[in-house]
Amino acid sequence: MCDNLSSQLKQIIVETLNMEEISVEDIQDDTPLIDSGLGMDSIDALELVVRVEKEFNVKIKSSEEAKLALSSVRSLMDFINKHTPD
Amino acid sequence: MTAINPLTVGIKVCKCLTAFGDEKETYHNLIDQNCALKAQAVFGENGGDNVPLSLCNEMRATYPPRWISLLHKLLSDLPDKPWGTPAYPIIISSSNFGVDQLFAYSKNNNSNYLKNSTPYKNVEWVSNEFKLGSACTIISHACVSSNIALIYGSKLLQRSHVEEVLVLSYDFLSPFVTGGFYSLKILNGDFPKPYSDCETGSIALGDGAAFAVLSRKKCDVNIDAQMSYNECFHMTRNNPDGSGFRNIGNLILPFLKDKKVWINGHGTGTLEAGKLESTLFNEVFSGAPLVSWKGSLGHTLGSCGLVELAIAIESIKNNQTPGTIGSQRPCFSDNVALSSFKNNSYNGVVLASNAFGGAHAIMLISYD
Amino acid sequence: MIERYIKNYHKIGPFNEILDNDFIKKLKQEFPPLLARRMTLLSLLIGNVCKNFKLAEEDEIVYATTCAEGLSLESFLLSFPTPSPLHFQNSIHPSGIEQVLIARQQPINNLLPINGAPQTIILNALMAIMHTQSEYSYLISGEEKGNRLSDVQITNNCSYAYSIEFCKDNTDAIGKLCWKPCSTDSLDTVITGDDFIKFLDCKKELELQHKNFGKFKITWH
Repeated sequence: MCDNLSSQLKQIIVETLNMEEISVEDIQDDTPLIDSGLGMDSIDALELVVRVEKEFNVKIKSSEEAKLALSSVRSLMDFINKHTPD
Repeated sequence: MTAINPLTVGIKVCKCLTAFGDEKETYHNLIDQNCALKAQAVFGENGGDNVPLSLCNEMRATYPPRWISLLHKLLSDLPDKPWGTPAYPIIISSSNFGVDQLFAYSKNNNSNYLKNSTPYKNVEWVSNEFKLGSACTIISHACVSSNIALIYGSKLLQRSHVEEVLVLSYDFLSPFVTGGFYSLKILNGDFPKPYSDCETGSIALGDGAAFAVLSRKKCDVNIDAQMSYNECFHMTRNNPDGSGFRNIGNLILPFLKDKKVWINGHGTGTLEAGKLESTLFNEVFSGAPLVSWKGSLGHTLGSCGLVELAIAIESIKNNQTPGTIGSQRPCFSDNVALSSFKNNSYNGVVLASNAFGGAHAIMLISYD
Repeated sequence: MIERYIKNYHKIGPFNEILDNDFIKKLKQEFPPLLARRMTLLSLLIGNVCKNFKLAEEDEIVYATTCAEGLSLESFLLSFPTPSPLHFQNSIHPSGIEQVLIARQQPINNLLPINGAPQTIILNALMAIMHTQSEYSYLISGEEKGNRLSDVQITNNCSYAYSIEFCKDNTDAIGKLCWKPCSTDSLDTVITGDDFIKFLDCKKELELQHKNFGKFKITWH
């Protein structure tokens, strides 16, 4: 189940951010998403937030919360698991 | 970096309109520490989460637009001159213009909404409504729109055939812009606390409109210097080394000479920008008191520079400057004035705004 | 009579058709990939016509566009009720030129972004150039072809960009812009933005006159 969520998120990252040179396989669970690592910036992160909120029915309330949740795929999985309604 | 012509002009008239009313009503409400912001649906009649907004009237898509009566109220005090002729040119600035109408058109295809759907169509419509001439420049530079308009207006006054310049700026909210800031996660359920050292930051938005008549002649209040600087570091972030704020502060510093100033900052309530602004201005302006009124009025976007200039002029007239409403200690730096203070011992005000793209604008006003 | 000398100019377009992906890919190659992937068409065209300019902080830019980021505007409107932060940001004037300056990390003191009707935007832009104070100033302009909103003239129906480098000094100038602020002529002679870019190709003398803006004359050496 964890693997499914991880793959799903990585697919969303590649699709939403239009990253032609990066594939799902290039993204590790602990790869930093913002600045170093994948090199996303705050706007990329927010685009991702829109998609994640829609697909997983969760709410990210502030830019600070977005920064923490999107620090890596793993942190995003943790956020979704913590906030997804039962 | 050297400043060129400081673009000194007289401010003959300066008036504004906010959710509190005109500049006098707005000023007195700020002195009384009232907050114009109310938690309301981010998408207006279309619902959504509650966010802090200050509105002059209900945020609904109507034709004629909801804001036309508000502009009538503001411009009822416009001096009677042949505005919009080459000797009395107009500059209209906004970050929104009639985007509420465009948004409404996108929802229901009613062709009435097209009359104001682009900046130039909006300006043409407004010019017809108020019988203004067509010698008009349209300026749009996000949240420094009105500041850039003042700078350009001052440049026009360098020409001998120009007598006075009317600078008009208006920004009325709509789901287009509230939705946009909401998507950036900086407009959320929390009310803004400009310059406060908190865990999360948030802004509020507000309706705002203002006009100023600029003159080549010296007036009771004058713009001694005004300039701009564009960091071009990132669209929604300032350079974290603070160079943008340091540079814009240093551009105006030579013109302060021996003036004792207080500062009206941009202070929207975001954490990073608020910290940079307050700490760098504390450094550059040697602890001059810093205030922001956006914790009460919300951020009036493109019109904020001119709206807050009108309030600053009221502060001068009344010898008292409203404090930074909504904020609390600890703040990022010691220069932040939370409470109102007497300003008799000051003889100048620095007003600063900044915008997407790391655009900065600053002006120094002085008075007798 | 106020003068500025034309040192150089660049243009791309106009294109009446939708630009193909290979062409856009080529435009993107001039920028870092992480930034280029989300730059708007207008910013890519502007980037192309500005790439050879050696911009300095003290220079001034007049940026003129009527429809600006029309495609981003269309996409942002379509994204509701879950508004897109990227399209919101890109739709805010003067995003086109800012995306380029940010990609190149090129700060600039004076950026004057103006809007205007198709018939008067060139006059406004030229007047703004005549009010620049720096030694070097640049008129940068462009439009991008829209989709559904071009039928109602909210977005443009062709894509192009151009840039003109002006200087107060006439060394190595290729042309001259003159301005007489006041005009007593009754007949206005104007040019739209879409036609002005075509004029740049033929390098003929151009005279514009308008009761509000005075008389402009562009001549080529």
